[in-house]
Amino acid sequence: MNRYLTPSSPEGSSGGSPNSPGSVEIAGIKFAKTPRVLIAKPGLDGHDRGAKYIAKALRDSGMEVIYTGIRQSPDEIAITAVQEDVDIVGLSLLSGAHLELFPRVLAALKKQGGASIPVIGGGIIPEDDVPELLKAGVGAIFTPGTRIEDVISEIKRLLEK
Amino acid sequence: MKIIRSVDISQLTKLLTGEELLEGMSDGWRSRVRALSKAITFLESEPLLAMEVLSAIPALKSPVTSRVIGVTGLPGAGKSSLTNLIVREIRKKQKTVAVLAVDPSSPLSGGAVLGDRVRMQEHFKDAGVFIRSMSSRGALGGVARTTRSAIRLAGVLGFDYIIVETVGIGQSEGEIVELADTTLLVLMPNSGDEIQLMKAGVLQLADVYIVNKCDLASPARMINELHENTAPDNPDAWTPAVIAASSATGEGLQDVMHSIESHHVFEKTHPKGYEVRKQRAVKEILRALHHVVEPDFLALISEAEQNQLDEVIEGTRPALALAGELSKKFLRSVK
Ligand code: B12
Ligand SMILES: Nc1nc2c(ncn2[C@@H]2O[C@H](COP(=O)(O)OP(=O)(O)OP(=O)(O)O)[C@@H](O)[C@H]2O)c(=O)[nH]1
Ligand SMILES: [Mg+2]
Repeated sequence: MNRYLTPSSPEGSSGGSPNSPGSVEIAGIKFAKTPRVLIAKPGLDGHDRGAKYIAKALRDSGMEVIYTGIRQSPDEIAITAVQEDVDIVGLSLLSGAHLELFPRVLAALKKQGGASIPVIGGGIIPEDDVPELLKAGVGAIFTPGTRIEDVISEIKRLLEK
Repeated sequence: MKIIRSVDISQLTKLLTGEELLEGMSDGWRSRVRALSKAITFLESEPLLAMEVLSAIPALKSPVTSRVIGVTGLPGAGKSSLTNLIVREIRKKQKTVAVLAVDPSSPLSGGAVLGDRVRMQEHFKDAGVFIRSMSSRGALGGVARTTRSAIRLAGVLGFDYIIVETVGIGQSEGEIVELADTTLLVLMPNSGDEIQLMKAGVLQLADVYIVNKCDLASPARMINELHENTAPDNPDAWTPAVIAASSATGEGLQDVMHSIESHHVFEKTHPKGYEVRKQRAVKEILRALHHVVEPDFLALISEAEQNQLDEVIEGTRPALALAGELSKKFLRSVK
């Protein structure tokens, strides 16, 4: 029966190459498995176009994206990330509350057993705030005009870190 | 446990049953839920290992007490919204529930936006509710290949109810009735044309029929049509419930809960109920067999002589004939 213990390529994983079992290729970049991404909107911010745009673009690149909808608390986001077992969390915020909310999501993830899940953020975020966010543990920040290829390669970098 | 490529089955078992806690976690239930979500990912990425993992978990040897409810129906009919309300009712009775919500994968990219969860926001923080979105990953039966295994794993945590929401279905996707104890089919007041198409499909297989969104239009015609199409020929069989409902106003919800309960009693007490469960088991075994031998047969097909394949392509040899030969070859090779 041991022959079944060799990892195999999951059904329907497009671009999976026969010599590296289970892996998928997304925008020319190889991932060990289909990445699952949580796109979440913390706080009271109702601007959801950017979040939906990023969610669709990542889907079209071949990732599995879970979207929480707007107005989520840091705890709700962290619990969702853990139950969905996502590989990365992407926060979208245009209201200006990122310095407060992004670190709170990181803390909530720690509490829920998701400390190892990397977090990235995007939206209206002044350049001056970026160093503080990175220092707090956010993996990368994306502002208007973001190219999806850059998001994908950044996800790859964070998953291999 | 980052991305698990190889898994220690005995450790996984202990984590699922709570005998061991995940590193850095003190809350037993949270740790078990985390282990469950990791285990589902693992089986999703390594579907052929499901058999090994599931048969190695001792906790799976005791009878499953979770009730599995399938929620299927037309795209956008309100499956997730109704699931949200059903979860609310279950929680009012202090029972726990796991929701496995399947959404379709894109046939072009293989990716997916899994959006069912958005309708269940009110339960995100409730520790008695586990919600997991699954991509169909190209499977055509309305559920994912791993959904069955995910149900088994959730059963280890002892959820009172496991609800499976399928992708929005069209004519044929009826795999859910093989997985669920009770299947709800969600339609809308004006889905008459779709009904025509579904007549031979899942329409004859569900246990409870719900005409949702009846706050928007009168469900009377649909209700009649459903009664006509779903009444069983055999008076001994379960007579499906047909319910007008609205997840916007809550109308019909109590009837839905009641029908789920009566169907449960029927299956457990009526001789016909046993018959249905047996048929379900047979179908499940057949499907599992397909998964189990698929890799061996793929290997045999790729070993087949090129001219044999060409004959099938050109139509001079029926695929069925070659399949028969390969099957004999397979049986000889395992002797
Ligand atoms: C459209 C819009 C609205 C629409 C929103 C519609 C909707 N459903 O989204 C409406 C009219 C409703 C609206 C309302 C308000 N708005 Co407005 N709105 C805008 C506007 C003009 C464009 C935003 C947008 O949709 N952009 C298009 C998307 C695709 O871009 P994006 O979200 O930035 O996303 C890109 C990147 O940021 C990045 N990204 C974003 N998220 C993420 C996440 C991840 C993981 C990644 C990798 C990348 C990423 O990738 C995307 C693609 O490049 C901006 C101004 C601007 N130029 O941004 C103001 C703006 C965001 N709004 C603003 C304000 C103040 C408001 C209101 C408070 C106004 C009021 N007083 O009522 C309300 C609040 C509404 C609410 N409930 O929160 C301010 C915010 C100020 C601040 N941050 O300090 C802005 C910046 C205008 C301004 N210059 O003052 N708004
Ligand atoms: N008026 C009204 N709208 C409803 C009702 N139920 C659901 N909706 C709306 O219908 C839309 C689809 O609802 P969902 O619950 O997401 O439907 P679904 O069947 O899960 O959809 P898919 O999973 O995408 O197939 C949403 O905009 C809901 O708000 C209802 O009873 N009345
Ligand atoms: Mg849905």
